[in-house]
Amino acid sequence: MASSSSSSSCSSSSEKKITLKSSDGEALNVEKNVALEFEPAKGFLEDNSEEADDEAIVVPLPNVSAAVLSELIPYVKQRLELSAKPVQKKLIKAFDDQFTRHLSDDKLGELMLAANYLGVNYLLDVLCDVTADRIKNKSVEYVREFLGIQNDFTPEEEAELRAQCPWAFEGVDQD
Amino acid sequence: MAGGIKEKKQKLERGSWSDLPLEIINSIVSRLYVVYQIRFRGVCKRWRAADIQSSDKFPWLMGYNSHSCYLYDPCHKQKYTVFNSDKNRTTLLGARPLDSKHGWVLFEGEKNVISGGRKCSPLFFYSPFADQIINLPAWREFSIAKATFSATPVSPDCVIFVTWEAIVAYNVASQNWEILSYPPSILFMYKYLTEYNGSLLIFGKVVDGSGYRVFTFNRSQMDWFQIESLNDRVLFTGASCLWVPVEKGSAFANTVHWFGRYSYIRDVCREFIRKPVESDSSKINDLIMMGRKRVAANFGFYLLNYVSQTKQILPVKSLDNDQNNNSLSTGPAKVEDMLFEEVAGRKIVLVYVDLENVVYVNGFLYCSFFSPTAICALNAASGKWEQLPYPPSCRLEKIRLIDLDDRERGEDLKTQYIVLWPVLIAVIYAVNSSGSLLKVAHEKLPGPRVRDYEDWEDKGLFSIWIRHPVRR
Repeated sequence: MASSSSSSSCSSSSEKKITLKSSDGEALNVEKNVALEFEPAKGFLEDNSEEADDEAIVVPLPNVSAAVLSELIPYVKQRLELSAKPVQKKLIKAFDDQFTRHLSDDKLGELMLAANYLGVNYLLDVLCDVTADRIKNKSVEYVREFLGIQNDFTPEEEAELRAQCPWAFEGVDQD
Repeated sequence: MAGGIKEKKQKLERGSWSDLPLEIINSIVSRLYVVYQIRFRGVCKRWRAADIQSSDKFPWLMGYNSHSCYLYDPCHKQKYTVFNSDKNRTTLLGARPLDSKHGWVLFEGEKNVISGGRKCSPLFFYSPFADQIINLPAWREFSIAKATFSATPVSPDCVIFVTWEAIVAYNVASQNWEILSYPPSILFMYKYLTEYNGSLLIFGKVVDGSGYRVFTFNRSQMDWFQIESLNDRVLFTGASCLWVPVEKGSAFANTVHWFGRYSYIRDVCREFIRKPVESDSSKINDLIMMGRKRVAANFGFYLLNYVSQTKQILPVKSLDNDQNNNSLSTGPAKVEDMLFEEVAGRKIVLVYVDLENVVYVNGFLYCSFFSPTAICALNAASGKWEQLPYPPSCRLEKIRLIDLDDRERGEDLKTQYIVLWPVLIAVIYAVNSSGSLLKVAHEKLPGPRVRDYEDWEDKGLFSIWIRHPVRR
């Protein structure tokens, strides 16, 4: 998936719209430069670069719902605008904070999976930070519940793990 | 990124966290404070597979004695008890730390393994983060001077280098000990090698009195370059080496300090060797010699009087703090084994080509020798030695690393800081006219409180900086 000439023309074609098709069948119109931020869309556009009319292209994104996409698109768009300017890192961080502050735990998980699938690494990075912040100093049980993870240890295994480093299990925050 | 994309998911549902690929979990976990990382290994089996990685700049301090082990985090001012006396364990009884990397400490255990009728020191790794021990198979007789290792001991890439009469290397993958001989023909001087950001560093005091210098070695140019400033860092050296950033303008910025009780013992020995031991001019036929016991597994230097007329060797003084050292009476086996050197018209005796320290950097084991002086590098892959050029236009002498009991050199103590404890605290001492040490002040660096580990000292704990586990 080497970068090709199509991506270099993205700034001049920023007005062009591309259609993304979500997992639940909805079609969303986005600027081409935004669509190019999504790895699968970028790959799809490169593969179909012979198509004369970008407007006619529909990029299928079978792993992302319309609800998640409609959150991601404005984020990526604004983030692109911010990055285009000689902006201080502080401003980007403030923007990221604002975006993530009100996300529910479930939404956070959905966005993370989508960001991973779409290869939006700067968002993934921010989401990892937020997740780490939400589970820090919580109990093992809390983390399991938070992330919907099944405990697959036997009680003996779990006891052994705790016995190795009992000090790491002390001083847990209230859930 | 590409790997994550390949993880196709059928559909997204609410609460889809458990679908996250391991690399994302790793990425989340690696952002957590190292204690939480250890705790969350208990979430599920996939999480247990996640690596522990710390972004803290400061290593922790591990304090231990025969029956207890503590960790101290100078950043968060947290103390943790790994185990203590109620468990009645003797894991670290009599053990001496040799080096620390990746959450593991390499120890020389108490000399209790009998091999070929001799006691020898077992080597083992201990990780307080997993409370786990990895024993290494015994190697004949060990008189370990220095040791280092190349990677985490659970990795097959790990090679343990031990300096003995030769250098011996233990390869974890092949489970073999291998003897590597010292490089040929080397010269005389002191310097200390260390590692910083993947580069080899050397520091020492220049003989001409112009002060301390630090050089870094550039492998591609095979040359040394002087570093003007440590960039507001402090270097603590001892069983393990540690660079720490400090506040700009702090009295400790750009200074180098020695620590560690065990290091102290070693360095007392070395200090004696470094000063050429000369014959008294009134007794031309006698030579005072330094020796290291050749036959015993015990490590120790001895001062011996060689009476040339009778060709007798008489013990003068033991430099070994080991009380149960009874080997003085035997002395070296043969005088001929010792090296004699003519220095300024007077004969001095140098026993042994001896090694100051070893440091492993990017596939090379660097050794600095003081008798004779040289810095040599062993290519770990090819097994070939190469001698490095010496830092330019200066001879490096022992850096003025002041130890508490170093009363012989009072003139230095007046102006030097003394680091009593390897956490970012220094205790400043002065010497009064009668030569006694006076405690002047504690100097605190940003970081821990004094009392957090003062009680360690009361408990007689030994300590070593422990470097965090890293991603494998």
